[in-house]
Amino acid sequence: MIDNKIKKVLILGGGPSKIGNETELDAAAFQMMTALKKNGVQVLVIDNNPFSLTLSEVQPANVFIKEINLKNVLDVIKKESPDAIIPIAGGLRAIHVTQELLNQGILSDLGVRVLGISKESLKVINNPDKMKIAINSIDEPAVPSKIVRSESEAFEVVREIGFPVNIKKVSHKESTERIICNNAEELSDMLEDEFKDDSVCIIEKSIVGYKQIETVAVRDQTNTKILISGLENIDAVGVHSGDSIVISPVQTLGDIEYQSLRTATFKMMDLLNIVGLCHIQFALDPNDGSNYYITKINPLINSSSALAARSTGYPLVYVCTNLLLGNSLPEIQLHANYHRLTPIMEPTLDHVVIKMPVWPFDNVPEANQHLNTTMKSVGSTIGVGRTVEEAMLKALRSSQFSPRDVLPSMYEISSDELISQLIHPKSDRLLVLIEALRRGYQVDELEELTKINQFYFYKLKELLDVEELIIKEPMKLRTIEVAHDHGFGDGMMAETWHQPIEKVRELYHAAGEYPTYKAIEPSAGEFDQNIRSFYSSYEIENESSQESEKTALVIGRGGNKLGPNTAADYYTAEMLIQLHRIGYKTIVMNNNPNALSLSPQISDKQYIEPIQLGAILNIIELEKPVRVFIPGNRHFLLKQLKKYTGLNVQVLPPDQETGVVLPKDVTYALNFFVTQDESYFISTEKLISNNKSDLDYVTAYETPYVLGDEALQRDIEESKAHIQSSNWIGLVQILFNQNKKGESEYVGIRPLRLTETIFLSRATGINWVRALVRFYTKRLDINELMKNMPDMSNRVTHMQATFPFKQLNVKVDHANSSQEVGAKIKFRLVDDK
Amino acid sequence: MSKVVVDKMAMQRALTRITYEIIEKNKGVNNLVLVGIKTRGIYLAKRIANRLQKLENKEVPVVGIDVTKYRDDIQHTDNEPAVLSDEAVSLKDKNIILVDDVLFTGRTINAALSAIAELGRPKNIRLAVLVDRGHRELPIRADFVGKNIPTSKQEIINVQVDEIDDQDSVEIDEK
Amino acid sequence: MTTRYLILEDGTSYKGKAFGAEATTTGEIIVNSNMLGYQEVITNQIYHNQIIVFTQPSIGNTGINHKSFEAIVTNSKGVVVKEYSNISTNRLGNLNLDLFLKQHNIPGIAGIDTRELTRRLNRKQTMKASIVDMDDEHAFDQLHATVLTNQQVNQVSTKAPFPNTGDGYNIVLIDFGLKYGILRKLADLDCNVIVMPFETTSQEIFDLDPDGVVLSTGPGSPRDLPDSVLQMIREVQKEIPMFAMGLGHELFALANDANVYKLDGEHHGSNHPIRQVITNQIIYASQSEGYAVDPKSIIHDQLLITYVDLVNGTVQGIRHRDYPAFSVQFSPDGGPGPQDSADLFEEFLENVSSQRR
Repeated sequence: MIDNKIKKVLILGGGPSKIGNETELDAAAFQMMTALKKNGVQVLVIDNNPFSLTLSEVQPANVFIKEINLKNVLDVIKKESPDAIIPIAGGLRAIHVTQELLNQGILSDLGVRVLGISKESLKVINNPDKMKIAINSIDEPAVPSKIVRSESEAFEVVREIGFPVNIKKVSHKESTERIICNNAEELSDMLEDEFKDDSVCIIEKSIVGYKQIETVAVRDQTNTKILISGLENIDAVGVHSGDSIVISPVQTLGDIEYQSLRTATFKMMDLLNIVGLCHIQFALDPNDGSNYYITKINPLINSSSALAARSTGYPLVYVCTNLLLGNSLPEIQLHANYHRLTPIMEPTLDHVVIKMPVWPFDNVPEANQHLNTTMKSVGSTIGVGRTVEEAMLKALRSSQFSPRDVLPSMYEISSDELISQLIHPKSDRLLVLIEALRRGYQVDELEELTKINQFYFYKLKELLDVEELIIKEPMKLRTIEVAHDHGFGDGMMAETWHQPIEKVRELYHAAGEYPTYKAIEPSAGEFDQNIRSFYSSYEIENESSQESEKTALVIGRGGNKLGPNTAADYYTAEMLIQLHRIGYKTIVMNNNPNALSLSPQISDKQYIEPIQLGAILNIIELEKPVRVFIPGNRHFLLKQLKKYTGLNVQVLPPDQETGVVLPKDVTYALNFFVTQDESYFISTEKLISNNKSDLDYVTAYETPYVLGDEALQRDIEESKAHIQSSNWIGLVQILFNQNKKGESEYVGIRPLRLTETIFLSRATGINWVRALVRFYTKRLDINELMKNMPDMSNRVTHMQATFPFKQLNVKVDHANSSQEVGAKIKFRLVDDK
Repeated sequence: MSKVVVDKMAMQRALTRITYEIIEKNKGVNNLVLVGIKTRGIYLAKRIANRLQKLENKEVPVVGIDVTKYRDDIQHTDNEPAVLSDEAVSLKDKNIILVDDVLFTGRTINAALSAIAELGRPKNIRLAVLVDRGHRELPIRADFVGKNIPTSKQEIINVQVDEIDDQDSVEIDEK
Repeated sequence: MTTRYLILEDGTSYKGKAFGAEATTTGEIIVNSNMLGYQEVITNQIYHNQIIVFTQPSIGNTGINHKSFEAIVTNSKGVVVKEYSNISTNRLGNLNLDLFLKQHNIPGIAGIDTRELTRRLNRKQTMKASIVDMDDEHAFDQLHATVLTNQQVNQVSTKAPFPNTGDGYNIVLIDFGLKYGILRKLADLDCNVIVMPFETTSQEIFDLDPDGVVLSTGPGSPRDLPDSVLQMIREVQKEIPMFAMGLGHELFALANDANVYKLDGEHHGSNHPIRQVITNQIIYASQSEGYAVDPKSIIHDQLLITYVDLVNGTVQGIRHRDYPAFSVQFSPDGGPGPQDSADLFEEFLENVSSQRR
């Protein structure tokens, strides 16, 4: 039953994105907000991530743009007296703040409840010792460890838990490394000096090489539990699960092992009294899956729960939010598109989803590229298919940002480097594995070297065979059929065969062959559900048909990389919302499992496909959209799409790279909205560079930039002249530099970058993405818009990019804008400093 | 050190089985009244009644009794009423199931029988207990037993119910 | 790989690739939506007469292993998958799904749009199907003409009693198509089990003086079994605690004057919420059912409904009012599937223990 006492809820947001948390937190907060509103609950939100859709969709009066810390959260609680706070969509930062609030007893004093996370689980989060005690209290296994004071004690422990073990000296003075010992000699050598000064060691069983499996489950107040998804990490323990290739459903476990993980998950949730969702990580002995350990318990939303939801089609956040409010699973009512019992049906899949990490190393080459227990990837892409091969190849294609569908390879790697990377994995893991197979490594050898289950090598070998077929048998229908079944795209074949892509497509179209789209839904075809997420296959039944006569197709950016990508995802989501509001049926194509823009509430239909020409053409041919929006960095696509479809293709978000910029320093800019006839001045903006005044290093922004009236007028005039002589329209930025003499000089003109467009929206309170969408669809009343421009003279808005250097353990003196991982925003009155 | 001998699942199973056995022995729930002995016996009786209701779609009355003043081995001074039920329930000619958490010496049950006798003459009285730990001092035997747990007199059996103890379990403690 | 066809009674033909034995086969076609445990499914004797379609697209990934047999053979009529893998996990590295099926002369067919097939089958009543070399008129004629045996239990039940020893309670297990999972669960609880043929009489059971009697799962319709089986149940339930599953449950219902009907579409999976009536608790369990007990036919003076499937409303469990005898439609042992109801075996032994006092 719903708890009627909860009328007003404060959601703690995720803050700036970083490694480990990208757009999935905001996507969850947004879906949570939708569910709360549906239940008549007033939603407050605190966040300082400028690229948060939740901030835009909650009423301005209920939005608190502040950093998430104890003081700010407490201020909001005191001011607004919500009935409850929800920290589970805010990552670990929000959890820590909640822990502090609870420790200080403030929440109970104020009568504010915490939803989604129990007292019991707050105690064990980030406390490995308490977690192990909790795990053992329900007869489940945690990785065994013990404190020892002598060599004989150490050996006593080892006789019990077996080699290999990790030894860590406990010392007050310095933090010591964990050292692995594989046998008695190593242990003796290691311990020789350790116990002289009365010190103690922690000895722990080493589980390097164990299989990593994750589970995501929900539980309601009446103790009903459902396993939403099992996620199998292809890489073994030793590689952070966020950096591993992940497959769902679990492929290489027997049912007996799988069920014991399911049962353990439920026991843990019972113990911690979790009402909501929980993500648990396990390590399994690769030789005996019944020998497993619980390694991590995350009773909060993260990228694994996002992947579980995306891969099953189970409306996880919506359901979870209802559970937080006190509904039981059978009571939850979903949108009519779903079967009425979907909340309480344990998902079962008839497709395969593979997640491929996306790396920051192109932009941060100084970082150590070896994969270990510290997460390094900044995003991920998924491939969905009807076979493991198909999903694998689509994930691989999606993770490559080359606009051409060329299959990447590691042909050139030296054999020493190959072996080294097999044992010490680096970012291009899958390509190295494929290359090893190509060079004749045997499966059992590879399994031994990499600790990856043999199953995956058989699958990769199959892909190699198909690649060979493509090379040997060009332009044959049979080749194309086999290639399609294994996830290869038309573009790759066209490239390999040096043929225009339409020749390839004509060949199979002539045989009446077209892709068949299958719904991503949680009943494996048992129920007819009107679910709107699709992936392609080449089979018999196509479940997707043309959405409408007036459809807008928005192509997403794919996986999250460094640079403006989280902003781009917000932008894409906002476009979809705005297009829908002006009467289009909206379709989004994307492959980032964490993407906000893939949230089912945001568009009418979602296609999870590689963002490549062949896949896009397929969707265009089926959906016949009247408008196609593609992001600005895809020149190849733009050219090709125009060539093949003659469609109304609009580049939005605008290209980040284009513009006419003199190689000069830059200190400020003027922003304009430019129509065919007129340019409208919006704002001044201070551009703060990390490296003198170099434009590439501008990573902080402030508005307004104070110029004297006269100077401002002069700049506006000059800007308008430049705008007139260019053919830019939309949001346009004119760059200036204030030289040493204090004189302003024109530096260049460019479309307003998307991060700054959002910054501008936050600063002005005007939704500029909405304005652009309306402008390009000829619905914008610019005069009306300009009338609503607020007076910005008394408030300063400041946005600062954030970087992943600390997490990547590198020091970068001058960070540039292509290294941004997120941003934070704050306001202050002009007089404050 | 306390040791859990009946966990939540096992306790639920035991109550479920007792419920089925009551239906078996009583041939349904007609004329049935559950009498729970304060404190945990009352909660257990309510749970059994709840289960009976789900199976038979009939409300079975639950009466709570406090037997302190009927105990022959405990000094008592106050004169509080024995029956803790809100409404008057006649036990005359009813089939009574007396419910308690632990059956030990039998003196509590004996006291309960005295208390019931003052409330009218039932048709019959049966006894349901969650735990039978042995060491009877009176000729009393339970008709429905959740679990037989042989114990030494030095041990303490600790029954916890979710309604007041925040968890369901039976633990053995050393004295 | 050889091209073969899966043809359905409604005239549909699917082209696919052969694996397993290249035999021609005919059976009822059913869909199993468990994601893991293909070996358990294939070796479950309830699939005697049936062709199994797996919704999980990748089958064969963990080879054939010692722990996952529900019977040492497969009695199914065929296996339909999107894709299979020839992985071996046994120590000699030589046994895989393909070979296992060949050894038992069971054909498989791969490369099928199993999602389309599933959606088609879910819209229709249970159909017959064949896996054949050619999808010509002759093949369809053969398919229509084939009459499947109704002597399934007779064919799969053990001919002679055999023991599965332990130190605990003495249990007689009646084999209607024994699923090893039941044996495993009873062994976990130290039971001393004797497995008996399906036509064992009550007198033969009484002569063994067991503490409890278990009726196993099995293939086909409960009405295809002789009345003597029902008579046995009626006599034994009065004297000895009884626990029945699957086909055993259907027989237990018939023996107590309830009706059993054939479901429009069979359901084989673990995703349906099942409500335990007495606690309102929802559990998940492996379900494999072509028949169900009609709730309207249950005489309330005889039987109590204990479990209900929330999706299709089918009766999932019953209990006798007067005797410690109960049954469930699903498989509490999993194999494959959740362990949420595995403690029903403990509940059974607690009944046994309660009666022995």
